[in-house]
Amino acid sequence: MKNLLHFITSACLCLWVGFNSTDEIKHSLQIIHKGISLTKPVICTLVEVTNDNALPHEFYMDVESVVCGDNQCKIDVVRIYWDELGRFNKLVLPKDVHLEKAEGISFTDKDYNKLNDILKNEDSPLQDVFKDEIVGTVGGEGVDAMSGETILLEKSAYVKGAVWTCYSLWHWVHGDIKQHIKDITGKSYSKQDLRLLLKQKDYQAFAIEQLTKKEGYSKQTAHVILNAIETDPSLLKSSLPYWENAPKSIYAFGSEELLSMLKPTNRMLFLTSILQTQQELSPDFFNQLTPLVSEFTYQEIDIFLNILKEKQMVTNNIIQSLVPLLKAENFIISRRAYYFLEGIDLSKENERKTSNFFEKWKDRL
Amino acid sequence: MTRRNMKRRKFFKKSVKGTLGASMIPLSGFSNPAEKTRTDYNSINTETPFGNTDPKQWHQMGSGKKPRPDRRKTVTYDVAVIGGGAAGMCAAISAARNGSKVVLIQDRPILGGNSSSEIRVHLNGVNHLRNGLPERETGIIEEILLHNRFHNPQDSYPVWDHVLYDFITKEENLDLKLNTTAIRAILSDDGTIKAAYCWQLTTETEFTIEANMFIDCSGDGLLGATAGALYRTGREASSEFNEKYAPNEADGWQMGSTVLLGSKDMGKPMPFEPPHFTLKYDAEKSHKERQLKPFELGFWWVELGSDEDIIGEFEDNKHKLLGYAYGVWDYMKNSGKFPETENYALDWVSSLPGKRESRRFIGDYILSEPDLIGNKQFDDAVAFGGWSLDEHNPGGIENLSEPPSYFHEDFEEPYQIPFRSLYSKNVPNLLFAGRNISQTHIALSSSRIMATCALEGQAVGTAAALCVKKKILPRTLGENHINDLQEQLIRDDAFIPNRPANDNTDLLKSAALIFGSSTSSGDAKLLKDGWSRDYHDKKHHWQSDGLPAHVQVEWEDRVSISKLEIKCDTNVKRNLMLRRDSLENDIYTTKIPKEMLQSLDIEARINGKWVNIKSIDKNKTRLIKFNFDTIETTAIRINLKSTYGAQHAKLFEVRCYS
Ligand SMILES: Cc1cc2nc3c(=O)[nH]c(=O)nc-3n(C[C@H](O)[C@H](O)[C@H](O)COP(=O)(O)OP(=O)(O)OC[C@H]3O[C@@H](n4cnc5c(N)ncnc54)[C@H](O)[C@@H]3O)c2cc1C
Repeated sequence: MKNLLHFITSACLCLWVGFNSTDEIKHSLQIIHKGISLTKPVICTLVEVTNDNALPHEFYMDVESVVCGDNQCKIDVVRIYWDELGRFNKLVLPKDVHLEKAEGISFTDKDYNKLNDILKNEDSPLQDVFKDEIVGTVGGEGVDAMSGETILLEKSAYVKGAVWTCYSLWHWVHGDIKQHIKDITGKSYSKQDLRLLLKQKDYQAFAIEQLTKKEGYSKQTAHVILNAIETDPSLLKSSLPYWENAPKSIYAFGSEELLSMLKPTNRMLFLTSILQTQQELSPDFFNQLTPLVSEFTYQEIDIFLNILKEKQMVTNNIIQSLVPLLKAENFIISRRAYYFLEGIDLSKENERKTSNFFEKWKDRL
Repeated sequence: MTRRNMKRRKFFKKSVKGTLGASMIPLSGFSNPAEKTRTDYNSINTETPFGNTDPKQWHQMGSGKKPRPDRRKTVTYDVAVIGGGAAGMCAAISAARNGSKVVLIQDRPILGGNSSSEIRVHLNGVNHLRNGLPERETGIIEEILLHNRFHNPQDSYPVWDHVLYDFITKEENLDLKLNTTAIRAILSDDGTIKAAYCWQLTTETEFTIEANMFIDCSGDGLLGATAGALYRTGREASSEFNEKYAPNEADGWQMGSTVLLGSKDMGKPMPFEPPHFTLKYDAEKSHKERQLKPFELGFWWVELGSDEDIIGEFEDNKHKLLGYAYGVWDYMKNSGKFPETENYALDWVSSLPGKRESRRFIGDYILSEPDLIGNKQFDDAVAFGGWSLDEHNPGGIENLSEPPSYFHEDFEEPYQIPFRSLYSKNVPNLLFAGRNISQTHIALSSSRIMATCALEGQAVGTAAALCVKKKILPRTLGENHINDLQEQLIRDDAFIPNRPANDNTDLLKSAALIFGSSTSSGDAKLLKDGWSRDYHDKKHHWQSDGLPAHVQVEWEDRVSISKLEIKCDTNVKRNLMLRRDSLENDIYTTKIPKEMLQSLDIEARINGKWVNIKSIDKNKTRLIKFNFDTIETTAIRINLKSTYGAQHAKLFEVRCYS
């Protein structure tokens, strides 16, 4: 039944009337709904449905089917269901309620299917639209007036004649509520539950986020997170707050591991987090990092050299890897290396190399 | 001067000196013509009971023995701007900033034209296109609106007047003459305007203002008209420019003037007795679009136009308009149909009707409806508009059965305004901006909106300064140097749709690399792509990921720089003009844009070391300019520290000049 819209089927009617309150927990929340106001939250009640283990299993909320932009809508109360991670499951209508399009025409099956597709689409064009952008407006000189004729969205984004319904429901489904659901679920799960979820696709970012909130720091947890990042490097970004706030030993371990599996696409992100972190990094870490300079772009070299300066981490070993950059093909890279080397104590040999560089390029420094 | 006033004057003079006494008695005698022949002035003089006042002076002026002080002055400027509305203010500022010595002549005691506290029209612009979103004007008009957000968070109209006064009078190279009317043009033999003859009401002074360039932003265009500049009034026939919304036959109809009013909830029932000149409002006969609610801020459709001499009829029409305005209010208060007005009372009624239309000068090009609707692309585009074709009904409030305006059509994207519509066809050194530009009645129905007028103002002010620099006339500037004009406008943060900047003197163009310390949207490379806003769904920005952040520019070779210019984000998709209702929603704000950069500094790498060049702690503009002594550098870094609330900093452009 998941991920299907349910309409006036007996099953869903049972749901509608048949909840027993023992496995339901009510949460009162303040939500921003783009169609209502960008600044004033709406107070609403989110209901958590728990499973036999008393863990959240799904959530639902009763909402008005439409925040009407042109005073021409029929408003019903409908129920939206999400799974435990805030992903849309289904929409349920009370008995005898039919969604309506313009001029009171009921939704057809095709319309319901289209609405289901629209609500499932996290990236719908509806997401960036403000309610004033939906229909063309014509302004008078005094107070601006609305005229509700032209709809400015691509056709796939709404059911014809029911643009306000689609807009309102999409923003209920994909608004602030998702984070609230994740946090409620995260709170009910133990660290061990979350570690297990780190192995399940689709749950990983959620698990990392909630482990950070729960301060779930252990070598074991760090391992599982690193494994997850290795298979999906895009998880690095969501893991950064985890490392940033970790105890020293976990950070030291994590940063070396992350470096060993670092992909070029993640380098800037990683280097930036190193520059900004208050955490301590070992000389070993830098010995491991330095050989990468030959592959670095200018920007990466720049930030790397800033890191060395900031963390006062200049060893002979590092200097040795930097000197060849004076001969880099890209002049601005060699100049950047020169500026760095020029300011530190160097061996005779390296001093000679930097002076040669200066002699050759002094007009461009 | 009355007797009493003279006494008062005397009193003040004396009290400064600390000597008060009987001296007031004989002095009062001097102003009495009956007594003056009997007085021996020499003897009075020897008594000297008059402090520092010479009693002879009063007598001699009164008797004609001494002439009235000769208050005639001839002053010379590079550029004279007539009219201190949105168009005139922007023209004056841009001409001054581009190196001309400028005078701004305004016949009222305050600046702002229709937006001033005397009239209180919202300074609208491209408030919303067909997609519902604004495409807000930048440049000088935005700077003014931002200035207002800093100095007038209370949204007061009288304070707005002084926000404008502050803005204009702090500009170097710009003299403001208030209460001064440009009465006529004095011409040279070659047909150019040599001077504007002006009268300053408050000082009884006749000014002859000589200048190289004259810009008529007065709306009514008296100076231009007396110079013999060609103009039109009324409506064109639809066949002339192929305008579908124009009438079949040309006629004299000009959209009207309006008296606005405002009311206030007094917290208790407030009776209203209409004054004797009230004209009854017949709501039954009125078209339903004459909306009576909201009623608090008056009714823009209380409007009277004319088929003939709208300027000559102004005072008579004003009397009627006051009658109509009070008539509508009487209907609200006393018809019994609006119980919600019970506690409301008028607390402001304008005494100066706001004007919409009169003369339209003829330039080398007449902008018309097909240009707007077809979004014609002009090689000499210098400004843009995008308010709907909002043509008010012929007859105004004396034609109740028609809707007060025909919103014929709104626009999908902004239309362009060409430079050729902004200078006179036959008076060689006359430029204009505002509602009097070279356009048809239908084009005016959209372009008359004040922020659009302001963009035209910035364009002609800049053009006039370039003409002065190059010693040429506007037509030659348009024909041979239009690129220079457009580049300067864009550099000064005016936006010309579909015309990206391409300034070869910008040293950023020769940079080897530009990058941001972090990126959450866009790309640092876009900071030199010539576009200063996202447009047509294309990004032209770089946005940091959090703050602080920096943008760094690297050159392969050393460059000499003395200017760095940045365009930051102020969200051009949100309107920020002063409004009487202080509207706050998704597309209007009363706040300082949260996206705008608040504090930043710039560093340059000189001999391998980063050196701080300049810092700004409280930035108030979208175009952020740094001027400094020339430095030799190979890299610069712009450190972005905070915004007025946004989490990330967004930039659109960085430029460097030697
Ligand atoms: C009630 C009303 C509602 C409107 N609604 C809007 C709206 O919502 N938004 C909007 O933007 N526009 C609106 N408009 C139109 C708009 O206000 C005008 O088209 C606009 O003000 C024209 O700008 P301007 O700078 O050309 O002239 P003005 O704003 O009229 O400024 C010209 C100034 O020049 C002065 N002047 C005139 N003659 C001389 C002279 N000989 N010497 C010296 N000074 C002189 C005038 O006193 C005036 O202050 C409205 C107009 C009215 C009347």
